[in-house]
Amino acid sequence: MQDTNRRIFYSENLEMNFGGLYALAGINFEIFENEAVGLIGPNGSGKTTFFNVITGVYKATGGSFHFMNESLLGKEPYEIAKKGISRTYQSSRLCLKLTLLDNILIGMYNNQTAGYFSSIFNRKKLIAEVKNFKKRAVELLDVFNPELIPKLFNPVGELPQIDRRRVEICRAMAGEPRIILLDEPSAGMTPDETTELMDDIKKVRSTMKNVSIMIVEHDMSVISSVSERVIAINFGKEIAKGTYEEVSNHPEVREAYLGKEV
Amino acid sequence: MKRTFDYISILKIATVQVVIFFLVMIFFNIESVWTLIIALALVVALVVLSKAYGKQSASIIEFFTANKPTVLTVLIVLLFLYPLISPLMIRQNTYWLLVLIQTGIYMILALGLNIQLGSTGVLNLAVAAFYGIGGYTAGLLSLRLGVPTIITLPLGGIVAALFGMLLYVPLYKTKGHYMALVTLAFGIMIVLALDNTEFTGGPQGLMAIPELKFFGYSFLSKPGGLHFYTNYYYFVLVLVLLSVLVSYWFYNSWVGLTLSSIRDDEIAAKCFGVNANIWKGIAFITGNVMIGIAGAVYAHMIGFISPPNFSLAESLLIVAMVILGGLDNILGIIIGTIILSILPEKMRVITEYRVFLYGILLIVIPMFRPGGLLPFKPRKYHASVAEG
Amino acid sequence: MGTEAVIIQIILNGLMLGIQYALIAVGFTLFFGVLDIINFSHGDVFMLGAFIGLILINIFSKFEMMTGGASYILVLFLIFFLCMLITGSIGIFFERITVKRVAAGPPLMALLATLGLAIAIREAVRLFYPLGSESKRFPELLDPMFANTKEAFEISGVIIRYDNLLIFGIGVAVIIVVSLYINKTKMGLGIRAVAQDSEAAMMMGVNRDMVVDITFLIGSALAGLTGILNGLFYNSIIFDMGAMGAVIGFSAAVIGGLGNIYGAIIGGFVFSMTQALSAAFIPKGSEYMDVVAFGVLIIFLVFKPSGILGEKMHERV
Repeated sequence: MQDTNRRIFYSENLEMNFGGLYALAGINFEIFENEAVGLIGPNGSGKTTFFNVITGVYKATGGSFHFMNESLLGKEPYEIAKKGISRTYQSSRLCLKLTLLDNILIGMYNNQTAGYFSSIFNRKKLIAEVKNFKKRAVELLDVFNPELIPKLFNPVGELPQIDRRRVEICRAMAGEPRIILLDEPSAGMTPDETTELMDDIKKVRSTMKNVSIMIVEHDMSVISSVSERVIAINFGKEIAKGTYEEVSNHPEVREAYLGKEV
Repeated sequence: MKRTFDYISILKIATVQVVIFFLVMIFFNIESVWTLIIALALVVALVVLSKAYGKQSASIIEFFTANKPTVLTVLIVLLFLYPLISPLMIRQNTYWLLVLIQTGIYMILALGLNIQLGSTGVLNLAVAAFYGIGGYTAGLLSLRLGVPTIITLPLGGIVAALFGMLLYVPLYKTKGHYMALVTLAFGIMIVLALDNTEFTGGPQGLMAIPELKFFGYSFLSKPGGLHFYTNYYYFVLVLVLLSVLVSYWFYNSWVGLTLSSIRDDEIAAKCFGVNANIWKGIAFITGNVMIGIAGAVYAHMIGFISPPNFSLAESLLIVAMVILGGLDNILGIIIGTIILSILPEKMRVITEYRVFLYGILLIVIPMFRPGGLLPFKPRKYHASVAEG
Repeated sequence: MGTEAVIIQIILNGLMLGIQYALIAVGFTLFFGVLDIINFSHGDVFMLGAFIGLILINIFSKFEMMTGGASYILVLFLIFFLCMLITGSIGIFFERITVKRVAAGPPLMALLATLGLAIAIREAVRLFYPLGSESKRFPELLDPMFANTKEAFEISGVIIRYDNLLIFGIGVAVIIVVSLYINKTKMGLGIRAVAQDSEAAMMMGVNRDMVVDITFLIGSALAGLTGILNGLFYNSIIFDMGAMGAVIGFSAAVIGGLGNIYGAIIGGFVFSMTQALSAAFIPKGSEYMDVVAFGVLIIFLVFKPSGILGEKMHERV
């Protein structure tokens, strides 16, 4: 599995220094083709910062990271997105006023060919492309919740949390990325919704061949059901890695979450 | 598929619109304050009734929306017929013609601003300054260098866009409050500079700017004995229709979607490949071209312009038209412009209180109806996309 | 004038304008601190202060309380105090009916609402004050105090009037009092707490609504006082004097660092000195001095939005 698949992403000694506070203090991390990796750690350990750094939202202050052997250090978010990395957000960054369809179409920005002037002078090409992309959006929604398809032109803000999360995942998948980063997808969900979510994530992998998923979570049931291997970090540094069982039983990990034994 | 013409529906729609058409002209004619108040009270009553009889009014609105091509065709025909009929029906025809032309210019300004503010979320409080730059460009070129108006108009737009690019760096480096303040300060600077530079005529501005002239036809001539404003009326009408079309097309395209994504969540948009800086620049340029051209037309039509025409107050008026209508809501903006441009002209009686009421309006809209007049419309791109 | 005189004149102009800008800027920065809002109507509260001051002076004159003597200083003090009280209350009134409410929503709407409020206040004065559109003469209140001494003194050929010094002194005194209040009292601590993190402050038991009220009271009272000082300085007031006052006031607050009182003070003087230096050294400077000053503002907004004393903030992702 891990050994025969290609390594598509790695970071070396990745650092993120916020005016003296090292949110990331040297992360060495790898992602291989077609795998699902979990990233866990207590609050403030640097998980979301890691996502923000590798998507270019924050610029790393030290170390490096590569995608397909190309350095992404210092690149802007839009450049990194073009390479094939997409993500979802802890606080669900959807455009609530826009329709379901619009939100998913945003994920296909890199596939658009009908540009500024086509909007005026070649609308036939534009509309054909819109219809095409809409088909893909419908296909994706069909996988997760066919009941959403009639709501394609409703504002996404009207949907319940679990469906919004699904739309977000569809948006992340729509552009056919190589890596999808899921940032605490179960945040704000009921236990029933979380169970549905775990199925959704499995569906992501079965729908798209050749995509790797990295998932940050606090809910351990999600991590254990979805990831093939897990990495734990604390204070911006890796403290354990392996299978879920190995990591969750690791003394440093237990200490990080539960505190030292008195 | 051969389209069959539902003659009964067409007749119904046309009749309603023609009746409204004549009512509007009667409205223009009303001189007595009391008749005016009664007329406005009737309109308000109508609105209230339509809310009370929700179902019936909803079905009426649906009927009109379903027959959009007919509604639009009749509307455009009526708009073209107006200057031919109005001299017969309206007492102060010349005055109202000018008001309508001015309203048309405001519509172009508001639609241009909408691309920046409504679609992309860039609060451009210097919109009147760019309007002025368009006007001064056209005025200076035609007055001092005799440049033909067929060139001054697009140049007005281009120069306004170039000046807009002075704001490119601030545009992507600042957000929210700060961006508003930058454009505010910039607008004030431009007007102050215009006021203090002899080259632009200083506080007196430019005078005796030549009229529009295309292929030898001067807009000061009287077509068929009608007032020369009629020339400008048709010209501005065409420009307004073009602006509406272009706005509609941009909105229902990848451009509109990208700009909306930047407005609603810039970071997420960037993480999906959108180079937000470039797009904000594109939106700003596009809007400014429209705004500058409107300024050029205004300069040629009125013949003189001066710095007070393009003050912060004027910018706020145009911003109010966009906000009242609803961000990115083309129909709403058209209606908002009509309300803020035509109504005050009619309310001459309250002319003294006009600015005061306008201030109250600016307080009340954000407090009670920040979404604008009309309800939100989902982006459909094209009728064929929504089916299937 | 010799160079020494020019420099002294520049400093004088800078100081006299600067203290007024600083007083208005402090209000802006306080409002931004507790409500996260740029309150444009603040400039017109400044104008209201001037007019209310004028009305009070007229009332007191009618009762013949404005004759010289020892009681004169008390009467002056009373006028200042009443004006500040009334303006402060008006400030709370506006805050309650609209500013606080729109501050909770999108910044665009809040901006427009405060601009609308500014316009409404300005027009109300123009419409409802007798002959509102004309400028009004503002009496030289401070002169009777110098009736028995010289009115001014001279340095290197530059005349410095005592009453201007007094204006400056009053401004400085008031700012010192306000800073002491903010830094040394319990309510001041509450203000600082809400300015940093209103939710945390509320959880610590701070009454946020009261803090906001007091902040508007102080900020508006300061603006009101500045209105009178401005009237004393120019001997004339007019209904639209608040428009420029607002723009300059918040420019100063931004340059100094929004949310920081000392920043507001510094920003006020930076702005006024920029104007004074431009007027003196740039050809046609007195016409272009505002253009230069706004240029400085834009540079700050783009490259150092946190201002001179402010802190950088990261957006949460």
